[in-house]
Amino acid sequence: MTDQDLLRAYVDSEDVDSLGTFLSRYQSPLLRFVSRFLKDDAAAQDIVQETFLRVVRQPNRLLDVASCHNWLLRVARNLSVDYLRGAIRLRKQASELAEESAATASTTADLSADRSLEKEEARERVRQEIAGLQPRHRELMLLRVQEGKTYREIAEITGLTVTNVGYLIHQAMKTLAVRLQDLNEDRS
Amino acid sequence: MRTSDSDLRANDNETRGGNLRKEDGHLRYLLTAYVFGDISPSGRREVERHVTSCQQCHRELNEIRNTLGLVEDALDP
Repeated sequence: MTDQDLLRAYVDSEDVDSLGTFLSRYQSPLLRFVSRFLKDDAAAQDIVQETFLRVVRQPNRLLDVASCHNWLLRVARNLSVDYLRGAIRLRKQASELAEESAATASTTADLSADRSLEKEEARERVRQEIAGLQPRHRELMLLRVQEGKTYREIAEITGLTVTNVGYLIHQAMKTLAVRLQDLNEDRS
Repeated sequence: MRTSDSDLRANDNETRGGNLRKEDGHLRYLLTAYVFGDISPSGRREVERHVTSCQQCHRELNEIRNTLGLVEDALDP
């Protein structure tokens, strides 16, 4: 059944099972996006919960949208931005966490010559650098790379222009390229 | 759906004086759009033509491509 079929069944017949099926389709993708955006799994659970509550309260709003996924991402993203704005302490925690992780990474790198471990360390390093991007850059990178959204879809989700999306993603990529220069050289 | 290069150009005209290139002639975020495949056929051709004659953009394109490879690998569930 399509998303619209499921929502229509809930709106017309109060079919809770259909609503459950609809929400379960998007729980993991939304959690993945919000968790990486906020760098806080517990807060991400709350944000996704709040996003779903909006569907439950006003399911009619989704009946005419072109993409339920994009609509849900936009709501979750806006709630996440509100959360970030209201939680300055998170920034401090994130910075402390990044320092801790960097220290751990350099220690373990010294200890192991194992190739697969090195690879995983490199992946973790990249994830840290993504987490260390400014929030605007981070959310755009996650929407483009992780969620596979086009520039145009990202513009719809974030309210930015397509040009600004392209410009900011380019800035984010350049920032990462500089910070990951050593890894890039390994790949060349 | 790919982003139309005319979208980029139209918005660019509004906000950045209609210049898709830096003043020194190098391509800007078109390189990243190219690597993501989020570019029109004409934009794609423009990038491909440009990087054959511009060492700096060619190097930057490879850098962006390598960085995207790292990011995709890291975000792969």
